[in-house]
Amino acid sequence: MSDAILEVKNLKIQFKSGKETVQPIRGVDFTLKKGETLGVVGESGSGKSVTSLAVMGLLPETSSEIVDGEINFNGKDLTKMKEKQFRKIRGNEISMIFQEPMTSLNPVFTIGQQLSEPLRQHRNMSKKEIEKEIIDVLNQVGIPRAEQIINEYPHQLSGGMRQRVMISLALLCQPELMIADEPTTALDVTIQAQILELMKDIKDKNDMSLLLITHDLGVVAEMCDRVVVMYAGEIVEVAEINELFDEPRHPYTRGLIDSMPTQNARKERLYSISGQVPKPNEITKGCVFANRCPLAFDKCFEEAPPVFEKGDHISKCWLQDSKEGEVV
Amino acid sequence: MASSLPQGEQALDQSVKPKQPSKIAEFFSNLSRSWTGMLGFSIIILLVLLSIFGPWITPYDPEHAEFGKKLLPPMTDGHLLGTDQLGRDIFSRIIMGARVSVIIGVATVCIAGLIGTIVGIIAGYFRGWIDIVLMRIVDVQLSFPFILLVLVINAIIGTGLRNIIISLAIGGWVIFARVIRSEVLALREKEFITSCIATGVSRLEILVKHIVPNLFTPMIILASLQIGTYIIAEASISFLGFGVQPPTPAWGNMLNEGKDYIFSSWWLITFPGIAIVLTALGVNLFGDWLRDTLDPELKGE
Amino acid sequence: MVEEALLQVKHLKKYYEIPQGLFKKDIIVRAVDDVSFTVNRGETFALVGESGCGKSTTGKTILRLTDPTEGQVIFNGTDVAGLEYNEMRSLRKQLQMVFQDPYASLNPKKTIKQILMEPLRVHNQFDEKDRLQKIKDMLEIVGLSKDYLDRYPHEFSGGQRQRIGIARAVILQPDFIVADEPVSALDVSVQSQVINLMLDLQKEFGLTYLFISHDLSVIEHMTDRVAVMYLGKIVEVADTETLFKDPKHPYTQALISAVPISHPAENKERVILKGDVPSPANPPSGCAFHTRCPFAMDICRQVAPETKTFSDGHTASCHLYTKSEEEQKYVTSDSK
Repeated sequence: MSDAILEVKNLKIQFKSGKETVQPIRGVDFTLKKGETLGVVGESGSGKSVTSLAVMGLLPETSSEIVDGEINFNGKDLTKMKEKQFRKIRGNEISMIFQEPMTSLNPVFTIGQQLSEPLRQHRNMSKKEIEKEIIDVLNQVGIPRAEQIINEYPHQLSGGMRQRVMISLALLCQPELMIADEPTTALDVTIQAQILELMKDIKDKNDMSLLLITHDLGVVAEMCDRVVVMYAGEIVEVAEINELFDEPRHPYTRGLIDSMPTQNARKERLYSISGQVPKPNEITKGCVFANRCPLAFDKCFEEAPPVFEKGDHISKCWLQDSKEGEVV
Repeated sequence: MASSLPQGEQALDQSVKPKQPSKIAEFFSNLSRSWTGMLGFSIIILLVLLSIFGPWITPYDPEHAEFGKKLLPPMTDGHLLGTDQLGRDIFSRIIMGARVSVIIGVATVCIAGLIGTIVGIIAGYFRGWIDIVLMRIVDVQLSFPFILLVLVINAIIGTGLRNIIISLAIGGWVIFARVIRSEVLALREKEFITSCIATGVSRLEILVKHIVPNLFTPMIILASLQIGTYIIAEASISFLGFGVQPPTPAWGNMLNEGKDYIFSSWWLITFPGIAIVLTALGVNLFGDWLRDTLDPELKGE
Repeated sequence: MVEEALLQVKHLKKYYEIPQGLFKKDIIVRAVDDVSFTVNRGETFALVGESGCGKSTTGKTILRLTDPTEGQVIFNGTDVAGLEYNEMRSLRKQLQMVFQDPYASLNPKKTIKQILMEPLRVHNQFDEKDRLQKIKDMLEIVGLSKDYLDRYPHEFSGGQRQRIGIARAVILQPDFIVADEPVSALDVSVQSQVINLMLDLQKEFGLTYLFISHDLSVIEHMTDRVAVMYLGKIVEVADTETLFKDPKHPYTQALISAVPISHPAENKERVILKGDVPSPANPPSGCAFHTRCPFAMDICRQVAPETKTFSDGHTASCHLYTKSEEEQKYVTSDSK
C-alpha cells in the first residue's frame, strides 16, 4: 500500500513493574492512509494511549519494551530507530496534541519561547523569521492578539486558548501526521466544538493525516473517516465510519454505540455492557471480551478469534466465522 | 472464577481484587525488594537489640577505669576496639552508648511528635486566630538554628539524660506541627471529608474518625526521619560538653573526650564516629524507604 | 400529578472574596449570582453549564457544604440557609449528595462496612443489630456483593466505588439527593450502568434528584426539567423535552448545537461560539453572555435582561424576547 503514511504491524508492548510484567498491547495492526482521519476508540485500559505513545517513541524507556512488531512511518520502521534519529521526526514530521493543555505546557516559559523550540530544533531560521512564523501559526489557529500572547505565560490563558496553543505547537513544522490524544476531553462542550472545527479545518488546509484517540463516539462520528475500536490491548474492529455505526460487527462496538444515551428512549434504562475492561494481568485465553459479551458461546471462552475480513471491514469475533446467518 | 475475571463489576460482583496478604507479610515482601531499606532496617534492629541486651553483651564494665591499661590500640589484650585514656573498654562503651542514643531518639520523637501533632491538628483543623498564633510561634522558633536552640535550652535547664530529651523535644516539635498542619489542611479539603459533612457527621467525629487516622502515615514517615536528626543532635551537644555527662557512655561525649588524642590514639574517636554515622545512615535509609512505600503519591510509580 | 415543591431556591448568592494583599481591593467572585428555581417532589431537576458557571457551587450551597452569601433555600418548608449547626446536621438525613470523583469521595482508611454504617450511626437509625442487615440489603440493591463488607475502597474499580457512594447517599432514604457530575469520571460503558442504577433507585425510593452535569446527552436522557447556567446566573429553565426541542436563549441554543453528533450521517447545524467563558471575577456588563452571543445588541451590553416567561414554566432571560412584540418578531425572523 503506497498511500499508507503509518502502518502499525503486530505491535506488542510490555510493561515491567517490580517483578511483574504486563502486556497492555497484544498485537495491534492498523494502517493510516495519507490525508485520512483515523479514530482510535476505546475505554481506559484499552491501550489506545500506549499505542500512540509508541508511535511517538515516548514510551518510558526503563519500564516498557516493544517486544514485537513494526511501526512504519513513510516506509521507515520507527521501532528500530535510535533516539537521535527519532528526534528529527518527532515534532517535525509527526507531532502530538495531549489531553491536558495545562500540564503539557511548561509554566515557567512564555508561549513564544515554547513555540520557538521546535523551530530551533528542526529549522535553520533567524529569530525574526521564527517570531513571524509563530505569529502566523497562532493566527491560523484563531488566537487573537498573537503578538501579545507570545509574551504571556500559560497560566494567563484559558483552557481553550491553551489547547489552541498546543495545536499551533503541533502545527509549526508542518507535520505530515498529527496524533491527537483525547484533545477535547478536558474542555467544555462549546469549546470542544470550536477545537474540533479548528482541527478539521487545519487538517484540510495543511494536507495532514490525523490519528485521533478518544473514548467519545460522538467526537469520532464528527471527525473520522475510519475507526479502529480497541479493547483490552487488542483491536476488535476496524471499519469505515458509517459502516461502523450502521453495522457494527463486534458485540463490544455494538454495546458502545447502544449505550449512548441518544440511542435510547428517554427516561428508560440505558443499554449497558456489564462489567469493566479487564486489566492486562487479568487476560485469559479465549476472546478478551467473552466475559462481558451477551452473545458469547463456548468457543469464545476457549479460543481467541482470528481476524475476519470482509472488504475493508475487519473484526475479531467468532460470530463472523463463516456461519454468518447466525449473526443477530 | 475470580481469577479469570477483570477487576470490574461484571456480573456485578465476582471481580474485586483478591484479599490482600496480611500487613506484616506485605511489609516484609516490600522490604525485601529494596536493599537500602533492608540495610536500614537491619541497622535499626541491631541497634535496638544492642540497647536492650547491652549489659549482657559487653565484655567489660563500660565505666570501669583501669589506668594500667589506658590507650591500648584495638585488638590488644582482649580489647576488641582498644581502650580510652582512662583504660575503659571502647567496645563496651559503644554498646552502652547505643542504649543512650536509642532512648534519646525514641523518647524525643514521642514527646516532640505528640506535642507537634496536637498543635498541628488544632491549627490546621480549626484555622482562624488560633492557627495564626500557633504558626507564628512555629515560624519564630524555626528561624533559630535547631542545634543552637537545643544548646541554649540545655544550658538553662541543665544536663543529664532527662533534660537533654526535654531540650531536644522543645527544639523539635515545630517540624511536626508544620508538617501535620499542612497534612490536615490538605485533608480538610478532600472530598471524602466533604462527604462526611454531607452525611451529617459532627465536626469532632470527623476530626477523630476521619482526619486523625489519615495522619498516621505522614507521622510515621516523619518520625522515622526525625529520630536520626535527634541522635545526631544528641551526639553533637554531648560532644560540646552539654548533654549526657561522663562517666555515662554516650557516643557524643566519647568523641569529646577522645578529641585530644586524635593524633596519637585514633581509635578513641574513630569507633564512636562510625557508630554515629551508621546509625544515622540506617535510620535515614529506612525512613526513605518507608516514605517511598507508604506515600500513595509515589506508590503507583 | 399534583406538583409539590420540595425545594425552593430563592435569590441564592454565593460570593467569594479573594484577598489581593494589603493595599489592593479584594476581588469578588460571584460564583452564584441571584439564582432561583424550584424542584418538585419526585422529579429530576438538572443544572447544566460549562465549567465555572457555578452549578457545583449551587449544589454545595443548597446542602450548606458552603454557606450562602445571601438568599433562601427552602426545603419542605424549612429555610436551610438559616438553620443552626445541629439542626442542619439532623436535616442532612433527608438531603444527601453523590460526588463526582469516586476515588476522592471515599475515605481510603475505612472499610465499606464502616463507610455505610456511618450515616446510620450518626442519625441513629435502626437498632444496632439491624444495621448490618440494612447495609447488606443496600449493597445488594446497588449491585455489590455483601462479601465485600470488609474491603477498602482502593480494592474497587471506579464504577464500583460510585455504587458505594450512591449506596451511602441512599441508605438513609433521603427525600432529596444532589448528584454532582455523578458519571463524568466513569468509562462510557460504566456510565450507563450507573445511570441505570440511579433511575432504578429513583423509582424504588421515590427520590428527587438535583442532577448537576455538563453532559447534555445524559441530561436529555434522564432529567425532567433543566436550568441552564452561565456565569453564576440561570439563563433558561424549561422541561427537558421543550428545552432540547425549542431552546430560547442563544446560549442554550449554542450549547445544544455543540453536542457532538451521535451518528456520522447526522447533519447538524452548528452555532460555534466565539471565545471563552469570561472570568466570574470580572463578568461582562449587562447580559453576561453578550461577549459571545451571535445576536448581541446594544442593549445587551448595558442592561441585564429581565426573565421572560413563555409557556408552562419555560423561562429565559434574554433581550431578544423582552422587547415589544413587533420588534421581537423582527429579531427572531432575522436571526433565522
